[in-house]
Amino acid sequence: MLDHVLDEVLLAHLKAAPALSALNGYTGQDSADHKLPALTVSTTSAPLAGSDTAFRGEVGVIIESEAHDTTAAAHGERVEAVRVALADRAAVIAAINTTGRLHIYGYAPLGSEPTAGEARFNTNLKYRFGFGPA
Amino acid sequence: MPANDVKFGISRHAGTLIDSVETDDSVQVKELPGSDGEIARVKPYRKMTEGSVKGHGALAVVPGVGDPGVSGLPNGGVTVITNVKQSENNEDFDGWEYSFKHYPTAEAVN
Repeated sequence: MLDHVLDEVLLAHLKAAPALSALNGYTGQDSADHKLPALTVSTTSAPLAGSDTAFRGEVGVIIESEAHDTTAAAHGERVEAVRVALADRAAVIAAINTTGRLHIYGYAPLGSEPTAGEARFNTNLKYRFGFGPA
Repeated sequence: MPANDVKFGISRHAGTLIDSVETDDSVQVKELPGSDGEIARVKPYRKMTEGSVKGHGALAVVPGVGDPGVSGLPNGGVTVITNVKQSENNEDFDGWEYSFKHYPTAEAVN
């Protein structure tokens, strides 16, 4: 299932960033409770024109921080680190494609959904990916 | 009980990333009313098939007389690709769409 592969590869790419390396990483396939602070990549996809070679994927990159021991500013820095890690699209695409696990055609940010509760900060950065088998 | 006379998916175009294929067969009719006001004579004429294809990936079709790549059109005649539209989107794959007209009794003039 390519969604799982994209989750894993993108999570590994993000975790390579120094500001994100200490976060607990999860994919959308992990059912365990998230230990905070957490970085989760979760993909849902639909095939292009009914094919099995190209897919549109909605990718959520979710940053969760414990609100009791994290300031809003510190959470914001983690979110910004994700944005920065995905800002250079050509470099990100090249890095992921060289893994040989799947092929990224392109991607674009769709928006974000920040929420703050009593216990945690949660920001979901949404991206749309075009991808297929390597 | 499954129906045995339906198809699912694209069968009239060989491309691998085709979203849709549409055709519309038409004929015009000349009607001659009789003395009682009812239609007494009819003449169908100007048979034509119009169609369009939407898809993604490499595209070799250009406007002009050409092959639309759609099977099941009437034999003979001339097919004209009337327009080709190509699109790009920040958040999606690129795509294209072209329309054509098939004139089953015509011949092309250079």
